[in-house]
Amino acid sequence: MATEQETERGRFTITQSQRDRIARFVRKFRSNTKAMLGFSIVVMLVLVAIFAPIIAPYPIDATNIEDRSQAPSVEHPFGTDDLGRDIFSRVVMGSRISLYVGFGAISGALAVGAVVGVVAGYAGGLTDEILMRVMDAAMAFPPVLLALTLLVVLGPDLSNVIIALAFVYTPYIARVSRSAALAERNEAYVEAAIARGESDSRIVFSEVFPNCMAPMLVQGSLNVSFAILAEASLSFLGLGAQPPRPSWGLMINTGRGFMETAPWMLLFPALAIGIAVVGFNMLGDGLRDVLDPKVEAIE
Amino acid sequence: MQENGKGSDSSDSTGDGTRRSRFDRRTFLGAAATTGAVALAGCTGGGSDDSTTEDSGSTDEGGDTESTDTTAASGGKQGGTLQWGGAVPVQGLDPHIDTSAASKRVLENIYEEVVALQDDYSIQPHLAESMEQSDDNTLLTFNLRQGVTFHNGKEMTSEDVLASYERVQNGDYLATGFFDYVEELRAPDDYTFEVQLTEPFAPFLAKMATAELSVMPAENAEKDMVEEPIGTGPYVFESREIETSFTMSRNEDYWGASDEDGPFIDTIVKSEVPDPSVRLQSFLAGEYDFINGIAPKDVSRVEQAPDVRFEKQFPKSLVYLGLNCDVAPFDNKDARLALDYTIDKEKVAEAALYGTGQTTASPATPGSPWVNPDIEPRPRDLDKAQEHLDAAGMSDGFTATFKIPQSYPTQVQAAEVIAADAAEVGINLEIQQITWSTWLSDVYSNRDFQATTSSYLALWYPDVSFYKFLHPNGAFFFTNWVNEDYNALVEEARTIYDEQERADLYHQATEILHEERAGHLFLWWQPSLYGAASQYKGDIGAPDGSTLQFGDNWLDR
Repeated sequence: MATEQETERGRFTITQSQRDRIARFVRKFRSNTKAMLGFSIVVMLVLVAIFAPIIAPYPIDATNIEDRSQAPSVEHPFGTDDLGRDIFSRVVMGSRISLYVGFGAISGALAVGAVVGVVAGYAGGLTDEILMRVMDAAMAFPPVLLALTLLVVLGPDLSNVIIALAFVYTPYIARVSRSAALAERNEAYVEAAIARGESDSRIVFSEVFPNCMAPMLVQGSLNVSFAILAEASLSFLGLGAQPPRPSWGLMINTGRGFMETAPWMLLFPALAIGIAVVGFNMLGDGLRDVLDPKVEAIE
Repeated sequence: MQENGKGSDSSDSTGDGTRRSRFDRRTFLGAAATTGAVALAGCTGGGSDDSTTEDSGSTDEGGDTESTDTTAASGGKQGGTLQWGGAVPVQGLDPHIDTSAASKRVLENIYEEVVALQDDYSIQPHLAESMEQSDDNTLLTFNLRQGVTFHNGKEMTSEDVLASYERVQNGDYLATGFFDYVEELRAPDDYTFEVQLTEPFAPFLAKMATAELSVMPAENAEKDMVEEPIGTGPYVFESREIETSFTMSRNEDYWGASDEDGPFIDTIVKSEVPDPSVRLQSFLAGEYDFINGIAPKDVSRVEQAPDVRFEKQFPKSLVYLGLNCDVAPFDNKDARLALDYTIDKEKVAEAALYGTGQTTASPATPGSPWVNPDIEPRPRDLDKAQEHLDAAGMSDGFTATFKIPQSYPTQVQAAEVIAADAAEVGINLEIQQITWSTWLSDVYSNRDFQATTSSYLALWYPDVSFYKFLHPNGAFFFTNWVNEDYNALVEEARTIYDEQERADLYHQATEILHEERAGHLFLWWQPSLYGAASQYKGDIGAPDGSTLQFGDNWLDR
């Protein structure tokens, strides 16, 4: 939206062409199975998360030792865990944690990474060197390892997981947005803006930035899936969500000890993670296909 | 003393003869057994001075059992290699320094002490042939055995014993504090060793039966830290690969060797398998002859497995909820009582232990005379909890962090049940899983916590139960609960040798612990759980409930 307004106001392009572009995007998106499938999964997840308290049939913290480790049944479609809690309810409520961390961390990473990347790409020179070498340094650590280290310092807590993952994924966003900004820098509209005497910050944020959004969105939605996975791993290791929160990773950690006797404790949260990760991945992949100008050219 | 203890839960001994010979053998081995007083369960010495608490490992590993199957008396078959899948990696190898139960499980077989703990919790001479106590209980005289050799071939004399004790007395070792009551150590001749106490001090003899005072060659006693253990025990240290394996072999020249009592097994190889499910899987697949540290939830699987011996030794360790009485909210007695009343102890124990444990309101070993029979854990009563919250001025409840060592799944399970229970009156316990080393540094050493859980091992001697972690001068004191009346009682108990008189003092002390809602809220006693292949014979375990003695074990194949 910002794009559209900016464009209308700042340049002489016609609103109609913007409308066309959006319409074309929607059309292509719809015809792309992968994107649509990913999109439906993500929408479904979001709906489950929003209505979780209504969907979940049981309170998630109510322990009931008599009913521990029950196999899936009509009463407990996903069975019960080692403390007699309903796994279906916990998996459903767990979607909130995964999405909260996934979106939270990536929004943070986008906010910082996009600014750093676009500024670096547009400015070039020493600014570019300094910013990107810092990002490279952060990227040199394996993501989960870096997040682990940060959490050891910050303390195990869900909001710290978001901070840590936002930090970890910032360089990935920064890289993508920098290369997008590099390409945009030499476009005629930038030269025009310079000629008009617009300030650097206005050019960066009002002109270049909106045009780098597409690759950032693709990278962002892919990274949401990584962040969900990372949250699960961190909780699995005990540094993420703390019991009794129904984090999928935490449930898998507990379930691991019951693999032979109560495999459902592990199976359903694992499936949930799988579905969420696949959903965001397909959405990201699909978006890339749809937004890729090369594909457009071939069409 | 406490006749119950080990054994009681576990199986049957085969008749008197067996029992007897078992004791004898234990006497020898027992030396090693020791450890007792050491207590906190375990391990890792990661950090702190002498702390300890249970091993770092995963699950609650196990201690040992005793169950007499077969043959101790008739003698076993010599030879073979025992493949042992161990729960917690062996830590340090200096018995005077290392607090970890995992290390003690192997060192028990390598080192011995002057006296040894028996299955009935009595203390008998071991490396000594006999001992005498003067009438005023201040002079202990030991006539050492002749012909006992160290693994380096040298004969053990009073010089070695004296050097070992002086090492601890003059250094900074686990048992150093106990030498405050020692006036003089003497070795008047090669086979006599004397301890002159400044005043009657009953715990000293018990301490002598622990690895904290095991006997090493004089030349090793000069070292600050022993890395290659040399003792007099039935097994000789061979090699170790840290976090991977530990190997010891039979001592061919063991002074106590016999056809009846072993040692029989040629080589014992401990593979370090900290993950409980991996350990159990490999054991059931036949990879190991023996595993310790079976998780309570897996007991039924082991019991049902064909050709497998399941052994349980009760009690091994005492698990408690620790409340920091120096900081809000638990500096307020009513807040502690409110929490106490919200917890359904039976449910918590069942959730974590699947029926293998027992709740308690006393730190004394179940079945011992030190347990006050009139005091029971508080039943769950939400009305009373609310009354105490009102009295504390926190009618709406309160929030506290609840630091749980994540390597103990049973404690994590318990914490979840406790937190859910407490939430019903507005007490919000925020669980934070921490690593064992963080527990040792933050919770134990720095006392930076509000609520936590942990456990103590080897509480067979009452001074350990009542003094070591509940008296401000105790080595493991960390919950900051101080009560002068209590302190006076347990200090007095240390000077008393009469069982009845002493038990009275401990009963009164238990009452204070309960009424004042001390910083240790006891949750349960739990057993050591072992699995062994059917060809593995002999009693598993050591009298202290948490370590292992392999001397009389053998392999029938």
